[in-house]
Amino acid sequence: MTHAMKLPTMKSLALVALLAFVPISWAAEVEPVAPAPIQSLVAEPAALDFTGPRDRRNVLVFGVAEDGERVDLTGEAEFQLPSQVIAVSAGQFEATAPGLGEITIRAQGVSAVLSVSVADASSAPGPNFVRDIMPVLNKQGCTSGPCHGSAKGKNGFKLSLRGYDPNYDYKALLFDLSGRRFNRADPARSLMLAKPTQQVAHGGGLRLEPDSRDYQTIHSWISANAPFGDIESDAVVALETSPSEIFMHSPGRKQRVLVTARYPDGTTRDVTAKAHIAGSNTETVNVAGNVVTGLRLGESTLLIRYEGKFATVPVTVRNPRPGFQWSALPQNNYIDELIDAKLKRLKIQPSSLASDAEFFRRVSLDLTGRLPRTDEVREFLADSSSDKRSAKIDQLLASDAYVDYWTLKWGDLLRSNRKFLSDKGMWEFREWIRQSVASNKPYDVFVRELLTAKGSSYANPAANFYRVARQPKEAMETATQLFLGVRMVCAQCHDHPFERWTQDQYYQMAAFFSAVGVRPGFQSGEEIVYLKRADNQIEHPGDGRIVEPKYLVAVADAPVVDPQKDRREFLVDWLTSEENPFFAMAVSNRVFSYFLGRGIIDPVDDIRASNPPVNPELLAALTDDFTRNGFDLRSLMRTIVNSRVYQASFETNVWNESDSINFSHFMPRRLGAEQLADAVAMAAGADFEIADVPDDFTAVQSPDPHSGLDGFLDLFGRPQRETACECERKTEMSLPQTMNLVNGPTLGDAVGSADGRVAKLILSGASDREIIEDLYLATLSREPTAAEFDLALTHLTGPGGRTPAAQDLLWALLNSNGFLFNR
Amino acid sequence: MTVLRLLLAVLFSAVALSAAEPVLTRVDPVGAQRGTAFRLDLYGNNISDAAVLRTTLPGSVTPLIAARAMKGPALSFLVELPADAAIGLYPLRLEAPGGLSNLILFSVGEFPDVSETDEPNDTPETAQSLDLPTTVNGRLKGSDRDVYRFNASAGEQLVLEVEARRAGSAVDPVLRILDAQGDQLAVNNDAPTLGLDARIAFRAPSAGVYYAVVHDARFSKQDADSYRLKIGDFDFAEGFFPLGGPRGKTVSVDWFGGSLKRPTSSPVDLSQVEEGLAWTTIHTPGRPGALPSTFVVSDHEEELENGRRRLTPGRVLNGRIGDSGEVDRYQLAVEPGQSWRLSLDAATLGSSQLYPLLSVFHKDELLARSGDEIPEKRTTSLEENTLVSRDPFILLDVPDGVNELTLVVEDLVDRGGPNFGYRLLADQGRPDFTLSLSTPEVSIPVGGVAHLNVSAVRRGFSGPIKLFAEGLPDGVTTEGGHLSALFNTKDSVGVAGAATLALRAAKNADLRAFPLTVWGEAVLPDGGKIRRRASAPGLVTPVRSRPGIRGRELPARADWLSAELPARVAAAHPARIVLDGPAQVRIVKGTEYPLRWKLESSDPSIKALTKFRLVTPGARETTFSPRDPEAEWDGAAYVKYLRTTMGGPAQTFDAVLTAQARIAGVNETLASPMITIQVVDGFSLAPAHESVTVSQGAEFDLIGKIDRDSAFPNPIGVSVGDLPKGVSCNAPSPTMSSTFRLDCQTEPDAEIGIHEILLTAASTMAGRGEGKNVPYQVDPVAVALALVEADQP
Repeated sequence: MTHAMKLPTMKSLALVALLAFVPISWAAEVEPVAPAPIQSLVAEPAALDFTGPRDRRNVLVFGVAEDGERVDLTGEAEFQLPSQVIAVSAGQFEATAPGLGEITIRAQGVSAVLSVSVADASSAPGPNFVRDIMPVLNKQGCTSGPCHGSAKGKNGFKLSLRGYDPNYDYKALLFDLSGRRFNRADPARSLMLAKPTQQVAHGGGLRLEPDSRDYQTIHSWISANAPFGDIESDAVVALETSPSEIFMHSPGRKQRVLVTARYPDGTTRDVTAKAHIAGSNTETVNVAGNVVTGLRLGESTLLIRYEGKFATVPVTVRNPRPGFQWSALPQNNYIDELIDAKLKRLKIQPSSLASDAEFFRRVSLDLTGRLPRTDEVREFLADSSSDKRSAKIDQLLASDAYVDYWTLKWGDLLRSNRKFLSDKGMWEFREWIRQSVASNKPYDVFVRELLTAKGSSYANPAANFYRVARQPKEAMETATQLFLGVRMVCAQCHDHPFERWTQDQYYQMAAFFSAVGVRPGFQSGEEIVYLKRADNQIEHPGDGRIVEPKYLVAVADAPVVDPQKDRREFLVDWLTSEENPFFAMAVSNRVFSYFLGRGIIDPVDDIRASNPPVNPELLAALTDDFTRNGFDLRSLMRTIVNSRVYQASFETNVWNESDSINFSHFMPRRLGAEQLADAVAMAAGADFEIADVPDDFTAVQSPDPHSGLDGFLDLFGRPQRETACECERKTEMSLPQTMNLVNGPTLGDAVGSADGRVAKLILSGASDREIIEDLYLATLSREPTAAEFDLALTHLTGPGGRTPAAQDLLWALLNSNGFLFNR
Repeated sequence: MTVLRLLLAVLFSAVALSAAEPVLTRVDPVGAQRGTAFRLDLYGNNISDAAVLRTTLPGSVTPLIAARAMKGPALSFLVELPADAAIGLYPLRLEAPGGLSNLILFSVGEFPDVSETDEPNDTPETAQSLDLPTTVNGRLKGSDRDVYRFNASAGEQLVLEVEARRAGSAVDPVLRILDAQGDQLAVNNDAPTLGLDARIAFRAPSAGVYYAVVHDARFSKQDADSYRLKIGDFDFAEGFFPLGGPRGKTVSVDWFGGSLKRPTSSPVDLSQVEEGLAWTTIHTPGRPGALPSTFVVSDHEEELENGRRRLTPGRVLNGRIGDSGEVDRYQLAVEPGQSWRLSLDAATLGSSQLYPLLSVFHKDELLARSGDEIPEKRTTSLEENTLVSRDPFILLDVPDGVNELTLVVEDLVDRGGPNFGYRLLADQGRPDFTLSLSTPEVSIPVGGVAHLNVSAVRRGFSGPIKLFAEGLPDGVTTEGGHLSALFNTKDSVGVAGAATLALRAAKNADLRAFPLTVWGEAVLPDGGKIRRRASAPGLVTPVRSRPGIRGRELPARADWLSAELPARVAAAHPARIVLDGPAQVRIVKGTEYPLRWKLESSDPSIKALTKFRLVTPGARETTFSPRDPEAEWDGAAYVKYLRTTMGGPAQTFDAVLTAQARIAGVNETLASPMITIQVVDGFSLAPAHESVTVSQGAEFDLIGKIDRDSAFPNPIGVSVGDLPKGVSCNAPSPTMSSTFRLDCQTEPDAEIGIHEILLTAASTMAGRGEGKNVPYQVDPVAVALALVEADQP
């Protein structure tokens, strides 16, 4: 293949280097800062109440500095014990006899007193499986995926994954091998103890020491004839943590975490030793056992699991740099207020507003997917009215380009793809999406039409939803991920390991779709979505029982499901209810992420207790705003892009340079594949041909992954529309992309196009200044700086001739970060 | 060589090369206003001056002497249409020495015609202006969009309609109306009763400019890419009822919806509909402009629903789901053991919006249902790979204790309305099948063969079907036409099968056209015979599909055109494939057979045989390999191996070798004479007795014959299985003998009773790999063994 554009010259490569903006530093390591002198000690819990002898508890000791900072001194504290009632065992306080007493705590020259009580537990029941043994099995890893919790178990012995099904596990232990895992006459010779202590061969190695407390627990349990307990009263109802939030004033600080399980009878148990604690951001914190160490500035969330229950603890490692002075910036709406509130607390100074040129380019790309034309840029920059940004936003929101761009976005999520839908079906579905976007159909109506669709995929294109998600389980997984932001897929086989969703809930939700059938229609490529008259229930894979539909979470005004009617109608009533805690929140978060680069909960389609929002107040306010405005997506976008936060500069200051999650500055993003292709075409004045679509279609208008541009769009991460996950669209840079930009035909042909911008400028007799300014406006949507202009002028007036030099300049600009990124 | 001889040689060569079938690629215009005169230009390939236009166009059609321009039309005609010509579609076909051309439909309309001007006309800025009323004859070239500008006064009523797929175009049109600002006011893709064609009834909201936009629904590139956009004020209906009537009678049809202010009745005379034709066309009452609709013609008595709740066997009931969620129930008196065929026609007729669901109950018990869930089989495809549904059909054997059935008709998605009609027929009958031709016309070269492809839909009949033709002139004979029995007979409802019937014209056959009918005949399990006529497609316009997408596009058809298949004995073809071997082949299952053939050509320049294909439409459960399209040349002939599997059924089917050659600059597919292949078991068992009676403690023999095919070379062993307790037989060594004998004995306490034992013959034969012998086994044969007490004889 030959191309009109010659290879880049060294000069143009130099231009690239000069035009590239300075890379952003996303994180900075900061030296630990010593805390201020301690003024007092505080213990948590405020009193130690043991349920009886052998009960073990932990204590946290905080030193409180003058400025109110709390520092974990547990490790260096000295304890004077009431030896008549407690002792230290394995690093914990263990009750030895009923009674009362006090612990005196000393650290850094300060002391405090902690009251102690030990109840008389002589009538307390012995260990049972649910309350005592399952925690041991889970903690020792017996129920983990690589061991007996795997789908097929290990070495003939299978347990439920992470012990989500105690009934199953109990039966497996007691009745497999005809009950030979237990020797009730001599419990120590039970396989259940002999294996993990490696008295007999055990593939999982040594898991228990014979003198350990866990060993003794199991031994006692077998001796007591291995009682099961009560699945209701012995199960944990809640986890409590201490502290509930960790705020470190500098990297290098450590904080212990205590975990307490609460049971239905009101009793508690210190389960710190058996709980699983992990941090969401391993670059910010390190977790070893129950000790959290701050590594860098930033935030993380601890996910704490114990016996199917979860708790989260937000961790913030604050910037210790002295001299922070909050400098208030204008607040355009509640988004700015709520983000500022958190930034101020974290000692993060947000960036100031982006320039008009940056804003215009950014908002055009984000709302319409395309660059502004040069005349539009000139007009906007020349406009001196104070409300020109808002006016431009309204103008863009009302444009056809907005409709095209958001048709593309929804087409991605809904998998509008001729592979699934046939040619005509795909075009019809795209048309339906487009009309929905054009009419600003309320989001709840949009979702209702999709999820309750039936009939011909041609007559009612919304029915195409079920041509992609054809089976009840797939439809449920898609609907919950798309419209609730919840991923249910793990719960298909077992209770969700990182969330509260159970396998039962998975099938209860799938039961809303169990009657949906899809069959061929009477025209090529047509299918009919209908409700099955028979065989329209879903069975639980465990025991084969028919599962009735049940809402994932209770909602006050949700209707009672009548399984004889179209269950989807009930589901959608529940789903789109203003009381549903997920529906409006999920899309508000998703839309917010499109403009700010990440969600308040991120990933946006993985909302779970263990993935909390970075700014819950903001998410709640967005959700409330969206709901009160009748689920109006355009209004939501208008609010977001009118905020100062959205319009902030991408350039950082010393206080926010390491922040990447609190929206303190704009986060540059590489243009999406279609945006990039159209931007190149527009900037270069070239006309790309996309196969099988009308000639005037842009890449943003291309209907699905089966059309367009010789692999360029796929190379730059166009989603293949195979899943409903946002993650299908790739926006990172790669070496093949760079090589394509530098050497590939797309840019080369565009720059050298006979009808392209450079050719037209030269033929029109444009001056050097006009050429340079036009190329900057066409690519970066701004005028060149003086230095840039001088450099470009030197190149244009060089010995190589104006045309190749202008082509060099355009090529270099197209390869600059300023062009490739939305910033 | 003299000048005269040279001239003769050139002439002969020209005749020989022009003998290929004519192909019409397009006509211009594709329609015209009645009462006007116009020039009709035909374009295509292999069209000589000797070609004659065959058409039913009213008025005069006069050949013109065409200017010999490089890219001009092949033929031109002056056509004068009378003012009272019926609005509708008229076939155009060329008959030439090389045979019959494909058929193109010409539309006669009500409004003045204009042609689409030169592209681009893709945007409102470049739109073509129209004066109303009018019809635009346009083409959509790939991802083309055609935009037309027209003026309308405030409140003006207009109907915009596109004729495309109904007129045999591959275009699936979408119609949009934009206002002067380019904002879309209305869009239609598929209009009721128009199939894939589009229509919008438009009331202009204000006086001014509007735009009509036409494009293909898939922006696809098609060869047959024409359309006609009508814009005017004419009457149309959104439906009619009933959807059909009995041949020979006059039926009152109610029209409703659309521009009709109230339902209007009109009589439909079915007395002149030719025998065998299942369709006629009917015209919407009122102001003319709409194309006629297709109306079913049956050979049954018919009745209207009219509150009727009991079905009369053998009589078509014309019913309608009048409202959303409505369910129609009918009682049918039956007797246990009877076999009933229950068929319901609706959506596939094109005139009903109903997605029919037919259920059969006895009291509250569901006995059968058709129209909802689709088994994971090919049972629902009209054609393989198209994934298109049929209307419901149920073959029901009445269970014991059942004397009345309730048939329930409903819409699959609970809709209803005046245009949700259906035709329900219950008749007692034997297993049945239907046949349809996929070939719209056939040209048989003198001294050569042509092939007709016939597809079958089984309605309970699972046996073999033999095709034959009626109306053959002297010198034309048939070959092949074998449609194999189903291997798995439980799939005998709805399974599509295919067969090829070859027509051979003798070297001295007269060149002439003739109407042909194709039939299929089969022998039922009770020994009776059944004959079914293959329906003709009228027209087949291929519609291109994109590779890698779901399903395949159905071709455009015009089943309403004729029940007969146009045929012609044509001039000899310059090239043909001849077999280098017998046309009747007998193969032992599991073996391979070399098919050998050669090219014969009157023109030495024709050599370029490229890709070969073995077409075996009637074969089932048999594989052929290699699938490599290239054949071997062994120095005397091309060779391709036909391989059968041991697991396939014994069957007879037809095979055709096809190959491509470039003749006179055009790629043509040549076909060989039919090869009829009989696949037989290598051997089979024939026990001397179907039952044997033996006393407890006695000895007995099992004897019989081994029918060995002469081509099967190896020793065969016979064994017996499923023996009752206390009975044993020896298993003699495999033998080349044509008889077998097993010595058996019974214990004194062997279980008394009648036991079915299975005689099995097994052997080995050479496998595909070198030195490998693989087991070869045929279906076991059952023998009844009656064990009686010792003191009984």
